[in-house]
Amino acid sequence: MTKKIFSFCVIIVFILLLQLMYGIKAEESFLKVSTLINNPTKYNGKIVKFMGEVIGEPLGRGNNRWINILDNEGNAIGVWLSEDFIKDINYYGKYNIQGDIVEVEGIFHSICKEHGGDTDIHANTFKILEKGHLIKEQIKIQKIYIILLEGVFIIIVLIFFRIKKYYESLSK
Amino acid sequence: MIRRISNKDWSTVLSLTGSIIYYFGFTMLIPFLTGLILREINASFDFLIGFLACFLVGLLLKNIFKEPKEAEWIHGMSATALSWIIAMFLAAIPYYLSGYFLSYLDACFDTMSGFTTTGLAIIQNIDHIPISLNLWRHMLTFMGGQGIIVIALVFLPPSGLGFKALVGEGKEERLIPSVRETGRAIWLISLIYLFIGAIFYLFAGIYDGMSPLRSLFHGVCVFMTSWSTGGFAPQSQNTIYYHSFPIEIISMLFMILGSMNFGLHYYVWFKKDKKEVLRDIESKTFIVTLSLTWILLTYGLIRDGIYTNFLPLIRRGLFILVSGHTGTGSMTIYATQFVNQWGDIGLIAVMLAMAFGGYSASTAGGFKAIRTGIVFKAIIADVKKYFLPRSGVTVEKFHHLQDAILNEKIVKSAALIILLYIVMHTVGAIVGVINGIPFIQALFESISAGANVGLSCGVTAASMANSLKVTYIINMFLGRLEFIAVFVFILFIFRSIFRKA
Repeated sequence: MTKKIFSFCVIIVFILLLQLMYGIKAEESFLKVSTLINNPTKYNGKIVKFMGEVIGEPLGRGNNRWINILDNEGNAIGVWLSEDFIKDINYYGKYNIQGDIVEVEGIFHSICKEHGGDTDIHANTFKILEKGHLIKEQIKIQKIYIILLEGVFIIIVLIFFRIKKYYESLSK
Repeated sequence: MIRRISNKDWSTVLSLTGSIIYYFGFTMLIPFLTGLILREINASFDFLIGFLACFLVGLLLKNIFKEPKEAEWIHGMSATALSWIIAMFLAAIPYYLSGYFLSYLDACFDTMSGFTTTGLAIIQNIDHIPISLNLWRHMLTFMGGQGIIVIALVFLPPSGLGFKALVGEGKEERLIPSVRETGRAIWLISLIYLFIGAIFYLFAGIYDGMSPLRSLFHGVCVFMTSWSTGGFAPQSQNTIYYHSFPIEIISMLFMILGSMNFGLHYYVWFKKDKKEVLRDIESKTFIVTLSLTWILLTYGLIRDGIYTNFLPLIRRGLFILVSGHTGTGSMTIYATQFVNQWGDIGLIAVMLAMAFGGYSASTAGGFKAIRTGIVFKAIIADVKKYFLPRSGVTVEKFHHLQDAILNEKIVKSAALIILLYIVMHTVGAIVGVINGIPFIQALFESISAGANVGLSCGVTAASMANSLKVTYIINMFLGRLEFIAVFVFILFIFRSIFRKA
């Protein structure tokens, strides 16, 4: 019985340790834009792992170009990467478009000397984790009701003022 | 003795307000049509609802209240202040219905920020908003920069009330004897620059790898924000998004042009007198204050080892300084970098630049160069007096579109407005501190809101306290209308309530 309890406890402790280790690893794995910007001395020049949605469009010219990646806190950062990586991107996030979710590993520059003091990441590896997709717009029917209501009210007001003007002209 | 306010006075004010709201509402048809063309149906509905609301309110006010033939300054000033308040609530309708704001207060905050060309934003998920909504954000800054009274003036029948309302909006330069023509001239100048600016940005965007259509959209938006010294941007990263030196240079150029007096633009474009730009006291003051703050900022950034190379000093340092001084608020650094990296000297230099502001009768905010110049000249003149012989008298002059004598009335008026700005910035900072924000950050954000700049050190967010949002809305409003119109309207209400007093 004691042996069973002991084994059970060992398993529980092992699971908890695993979870704890996974938690730490996950935290270290994918950094947020705010973490990078608010801790420039800690991360400047270091290799960081970053995950987020590709937004807008690729920018710049040449073999290396810019993409902007938005993290789940709503902050975006510029990533400088090879044109070869960019070819793999399917969707860039915009209205009604969910951009590809990507993973970038590269060197973080708090004040990049190569790019006029930009805050950026120079990507070494780039991986698409989730392909983006189009989002179908759902029309909200309540808005049509409001428009109709406003329209009816305006017609009533216009008729009222027209009648009022008519009687005023008669009285004159 | 202060005059009493009668129902006829209210009738005059509400009638003019109705006309302004009525004509202003038609501007919502532009994003409405854009949304229809781009099949952004929900957004189109939002603008149609907003347009109909303006139409209805304008129609009711115009027809219920009749404008008497004789109108006074209090009517024009009060109508201006009231129009801005009502326009804020109505223009916030499409914002709120879009679902990109957490509350109606947030929608009002961004609307007032746009109208006043401040540029502080708490909209959510900018990178995924409809193009028509994004266009509306930038249109708000463009229209607010020229002034919503100026929009209405183009359509309103000629009357003395128009100019009185225009002065309330901070556009006291009457470019042409006719007020209506002045309104048209302001719009003509802005539209000429819009055309030129859009072409500049279009090519810069294409060079930066954007498609021609996207580049045109971004070009129009970024031009509107730069020229109107607004500070909004189509993407959440603001100007950082483009990673483009040419776009930053073009923006700096249009920010400076936008912060210049419309009278000066008129001289250059229609009177072909380019030298007037350098003769004007405002230009001289602007060059001096920009240079001094630039020296201070450069010293701070180099001393603290932030930017040690020329290019970052221009692309980050000078860009932010020009953006702050012209009251634009476009950013090439992240908000929190002000506090985390720039250090105290950097913050102070930017705060000073923001407080000084651009030219009078422009889209810029702040003290305005003419007031700073006049107060500085008055101080020099006062010191000079001690060096004169007993019977000696000096007459100080300054040149602002024409030669003028520096008299006590002008100096008092300029100093009073500067004092009011300082009080407003201080009150805003105190409210920030009460809400738990460190003093320097609270002061930075307060100056940014009150001087209609829009640079943020990270305080402005949807999560900030409602009391702070309301304070910044009031500061933006007061700063844009330069106090007097708002104070006149407050007294107007006060005298209406206490008629027997």
